[in-house]
Amino acid sequence: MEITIDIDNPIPQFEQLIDQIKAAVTAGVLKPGDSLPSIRQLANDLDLNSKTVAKAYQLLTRDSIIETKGYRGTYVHPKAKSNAKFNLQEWTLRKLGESVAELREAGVTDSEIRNAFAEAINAQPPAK
Amino acid sequence: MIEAYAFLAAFAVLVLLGSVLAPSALIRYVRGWAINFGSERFAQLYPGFDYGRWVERFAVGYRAVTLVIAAFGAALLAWQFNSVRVSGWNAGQAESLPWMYFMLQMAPLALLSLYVVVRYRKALLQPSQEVKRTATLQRRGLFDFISPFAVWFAVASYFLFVAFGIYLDLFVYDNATLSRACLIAIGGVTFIYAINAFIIYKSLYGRKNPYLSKEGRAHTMGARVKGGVYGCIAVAWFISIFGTLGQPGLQQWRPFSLCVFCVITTFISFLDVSSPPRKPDEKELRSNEVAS
Repeated sequence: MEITIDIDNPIPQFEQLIDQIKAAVTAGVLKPGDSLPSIRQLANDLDLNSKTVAKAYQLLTRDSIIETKGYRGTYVHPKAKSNAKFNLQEWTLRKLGESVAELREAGVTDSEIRNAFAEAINAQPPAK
Repeated sequence: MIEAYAFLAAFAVLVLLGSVLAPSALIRYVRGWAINFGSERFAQLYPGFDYGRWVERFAVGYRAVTLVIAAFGAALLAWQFNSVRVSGWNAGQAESLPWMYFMLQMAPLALLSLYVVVRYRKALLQPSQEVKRTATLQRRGLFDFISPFAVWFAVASYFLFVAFGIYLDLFVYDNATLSRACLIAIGGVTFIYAINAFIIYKSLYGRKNPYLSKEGRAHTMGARVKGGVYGCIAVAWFISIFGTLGQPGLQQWRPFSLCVFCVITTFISFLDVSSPPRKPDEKELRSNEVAS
């Protein structure tokens, strides 16, 4: 399967990579257990910075679309197909939207919500 | 006397292969590249650079130089033949001949490569200007291009060579400790293995050459991987045989073995250009479009 990165596309390159890998998993082109190219190989083939590919792989690993098995390489996750359908950004927006609506109903103003949200984030330990 | 005629036959093959057949294959390969997509690609990337004209100049110049070298090789062959027939063949004198002639055969290409690297270094190192870049979402590995047996054999050959070299030095040549020649041979072979491993790694995972089609790139990778592995095997076995032939009574065969090794090395060196590059398909050409 081939992937194409459009340099002129306003969508960031790592997101183009993520979208195409997710699309391949959803379409069944990439099956659980299929091996993926190494970061270095993909970065050199696409003439991209290896950090861009590493970021895409990192986010795909976080979403359990792919998994890294040490020196053996990177593989498609066993539950990749169901995980690829899950949109983390949409889910986050929906959850936050629900909380904002609840707070507004309770009479909290938007600026108070913003301040409270910033304080809540700062109060949490830093994300890994 | 059979060793002298074997040497003459092997030397004739070396002259024919290295100075006539291999250069013709290289010229055919470079012309095929220019006709298929090289000129168009270079014109897009470097306006004002006439790639087609450069290729023709290279073809004429390289053919002329290699024909002169071939004629010189034929003269050397005639001289050696005359020595065998008239004054008696001197194996010691003939021993250095194949290696020096082989270096002479490789010199034009080595000098040209050096010139291209120095002259077009900036152009070769500049990042890709392609807007749409494609890659196959499949991991490449060594065994996609060569059988695991060949790799195993190359590794086994190295360890066998080291063991055999030490045995030969200590027990056949009766040295009290390892001689300098033995250490140099082991060091040299180790260095060649390391260099080939580096070349194979860079071919598989190094930066993509934007002037090659997908098939051309796969062909180049395959040729370099095979060349590297087979080259390592050839060196390990050749040095072992050459060391064995140092014994009294066998030294007459050394020029022949050196000649055969040069023939094998020439063949491996030109493996990359053994078949002309294929024209990329329409889809691939579109993906190679350069930003205006």
